[in-house]
Amino acid sequence: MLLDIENLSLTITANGLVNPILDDVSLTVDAGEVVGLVGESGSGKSTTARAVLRLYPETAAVEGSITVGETEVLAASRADLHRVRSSEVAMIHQDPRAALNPVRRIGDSLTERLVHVLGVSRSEAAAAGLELLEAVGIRQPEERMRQYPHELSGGMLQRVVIAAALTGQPKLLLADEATSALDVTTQAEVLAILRDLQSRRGLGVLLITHDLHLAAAYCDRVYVMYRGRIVEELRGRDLFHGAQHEYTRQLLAAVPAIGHLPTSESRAS
Amino acid sequence: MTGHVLEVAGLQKAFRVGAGNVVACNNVSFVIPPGGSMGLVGESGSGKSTIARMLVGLEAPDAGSIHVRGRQLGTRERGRAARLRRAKEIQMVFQDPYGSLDRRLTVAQCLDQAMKLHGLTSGAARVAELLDQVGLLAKHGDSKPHQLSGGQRQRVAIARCLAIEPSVMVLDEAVSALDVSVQAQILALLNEIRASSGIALLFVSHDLAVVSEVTDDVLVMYRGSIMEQGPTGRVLNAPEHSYSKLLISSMPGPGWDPKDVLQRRAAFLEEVGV
Repeated sequence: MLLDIENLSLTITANGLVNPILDDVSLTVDAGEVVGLVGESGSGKSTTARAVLRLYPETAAVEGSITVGETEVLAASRADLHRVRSSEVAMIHQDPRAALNPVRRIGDSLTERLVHVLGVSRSEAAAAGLELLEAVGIRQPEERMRQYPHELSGGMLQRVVIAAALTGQPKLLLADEATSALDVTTQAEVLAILRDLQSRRGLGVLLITHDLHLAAAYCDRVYVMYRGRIVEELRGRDLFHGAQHEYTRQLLAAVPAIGHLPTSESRAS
Repeated sequence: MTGHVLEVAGLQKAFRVGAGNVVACNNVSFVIPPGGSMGLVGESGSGKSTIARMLVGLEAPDAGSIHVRGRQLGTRERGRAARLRRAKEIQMVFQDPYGSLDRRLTVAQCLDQAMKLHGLTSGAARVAELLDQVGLLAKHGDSKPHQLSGGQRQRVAIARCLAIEPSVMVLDEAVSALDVSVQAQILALLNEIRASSGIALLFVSHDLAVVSEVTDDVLVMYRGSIMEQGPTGRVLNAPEHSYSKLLISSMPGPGWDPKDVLQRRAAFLEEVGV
């Protein structure tokens, strides 16, 4: 198993108040698998993903275990944690403009991990960067490497961020609402690229999304979170019809849908 | 003239970008009847928000006209009185419920100020009535924005619009930042409001499913031009234009494959010669 979270509980105590953020969360992601994590704001989706990189407030009390490959993240040494963060797991967030330094060229952001963390030479890093930009479907990569973030569209930047995330050859990708800010057509484009890379590299993906239609259509398995707990685990294709838990059903009932869209002519081909 | 609340004809707007011009709105015309609701959909850069901004007077159109209840609005208001007159006709709800309210004012003060600004009779009774209309409790009147959830804040923003009794409400991605369950409540509220008040809604969104819940008619836009226009159910279920088809097939659903969308997009771009 690539990622194995077992009985993870996370509690934050502030001003004498005990706030349970995660309560007995268990989930797994296998190599080559796309696993969805859905739920409302505040349900603990992002906290779960961030815990995989041991990113949580120092005041948090954490129990349970998180294993990435062979490494137990919660008890890892500095060196092991550094290895997990730099080359085993990559995370992509919703807003690519917040992820890239606005005053640095795309090429610098893209090769930063290779040059400064993994000690690859600049010329080799640049060659690897070009290759990755091509892999995520960016045309004229040499020109893009010299441009600044403000010169590129949101969809283009998110592809740069995906390329940058892949520079360390990670095994696991944590995508936190990574396509939510994109247009639907651009979202489809980015997801097609991601699926292609994922199947070629055997990448495991944990896809956090509030879009239940997307989770159902794109994920092999889906976990539903509610108030810090996982209330249900389903196959993606069963999400809309196989949900047992009352909360999942209510959530699904709230999702707007277009009439008989799936059977329309536009979907047929 | 006619019974329409909002009548937009031949609206035109171009922005100067570098050496060239980008046409954000190209000869756009539509009407909304009393209590009617029009959806405006399309990808980023299609000109949706530019139209919304021209309606509320944040951008001046290059050409074309906007009539509200038969009266033409100016293209560029000068002076406070003229701007207030326009605001009285058309109100806007923005996407970010965290950024559109004054953090220093309580909800009651916020509603009260809006009414006083427009010379309307305010008072505790009217504030209570407005809160009730948008599904908030009387106690919320004493809350400041930071004490409210995103959905509650968006209800306050809607109450502030209603306080001014406008003819048209423009909602620019107004439910996009909300969770689906909260979104469903706000959409139900909007349907109630237009049924009971006759206010016309212009609903700008990239989310076709949301648009299908609250609109009667829809405009599909691409690069400033209308690609398709018609009853929402017909356009979304049986789209005629290849761009509408692309947009609808982009939405994830059962059997959805992002690769198909890429092929459709390439075919469409070839068709329009990009």
